[in-house]
Amino acid sequence: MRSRYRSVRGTAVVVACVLALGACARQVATSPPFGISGKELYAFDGLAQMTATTPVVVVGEVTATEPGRTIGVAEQTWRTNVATLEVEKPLQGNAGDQIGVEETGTNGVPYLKVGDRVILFLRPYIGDPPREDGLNYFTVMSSQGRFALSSDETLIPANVESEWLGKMSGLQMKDFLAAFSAAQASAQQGDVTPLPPPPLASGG
Amino acid sequence: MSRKAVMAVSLAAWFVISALSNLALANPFGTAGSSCAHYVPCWYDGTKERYWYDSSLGSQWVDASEYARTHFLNPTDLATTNVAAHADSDVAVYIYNDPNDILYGYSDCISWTGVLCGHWHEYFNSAFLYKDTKRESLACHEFGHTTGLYHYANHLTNPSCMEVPHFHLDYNAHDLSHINDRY
Repeated sequence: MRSRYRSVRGTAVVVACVLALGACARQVATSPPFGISGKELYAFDGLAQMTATTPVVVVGEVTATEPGRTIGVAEQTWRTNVATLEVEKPLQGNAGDQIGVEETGTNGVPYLKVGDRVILFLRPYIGDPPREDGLNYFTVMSSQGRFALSSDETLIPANVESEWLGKMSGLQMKDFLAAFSAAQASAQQGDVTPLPPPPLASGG
Repeated sequence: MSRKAVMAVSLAAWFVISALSNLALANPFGTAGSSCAHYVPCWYDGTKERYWYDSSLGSQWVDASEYARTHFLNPTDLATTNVAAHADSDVAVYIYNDPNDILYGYSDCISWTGVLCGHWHEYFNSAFLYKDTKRESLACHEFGHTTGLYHYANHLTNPSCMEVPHFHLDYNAHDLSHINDRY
């Protein structure tokens, strides 16, 4: 009888473990499916247009990341990436010394990770912030609006589909800053037209 | 049942659950640069695409999808039809709503051999686009990916729905030539 009780109890323990492990294994993926390719809200024809359209541009370093909300549909769901950046140099707009950036990982742009130094072209996050920590939250304008900075201060665009971005690959930071200042001057003089905001379904 | 038998059954169950879970989470594209991977166009592996619309799509997006399918794809050599069950489809169309995404919509090959895709998922972001013509253009764009077409940038002299950032209706002669050569 005691042996039978042990057997039943053992079975229950093992089944519970199996179910628990199974539940863990079914967690939502923390990175997006690799092959997603889509039509972006913004597709810029050059640095001047991207600068004229973008409200906030910063140089910063990623100090923390954590998985955000679950997105995607059907079998393809994954977690966004919520990164905290120390702003090293604000280039345009008012962001604050520390900001949050949520990324969806679509169009092949890998998630930011701690230690990454980047130049980001950002727009304000819409809706409730991903974390209640008082930071200003943003999303990247498009895959064109993200550049990694290597240890020798050269730019690595996340998206090199466009010819103009391909030409910026390997640019020194000081040369980028000069080009960016020229782009800002063009925008201020009205020499370049900003792209309109994407049309919201509400008609707003 | 002996303890050994219980352990064996439990382990077997664990392996089955793990395998199924890994299948659901597996990266369907393998390593970078492999066929049907990001920025590597691939195309439907048959000659007649069967479209299925998820029930959450809503009439506006179904109408736009049907418009794109019947007006832009059907005149080509790639025949299309729609079906009632996902299991019978080659292209499954879904909707999502995310104003913080960088995309209007996207295309995802779920199952492929080399550059031939056996099953596509298409996703439209309902946070954007309130005009029928823009929804039709987006459907034209995403469905165009299933035929192996990729993006143009500012191709205004020979407009195509595959162009970004604008919303043209229909494929251009170059696109149609590619589609008709392939199917």
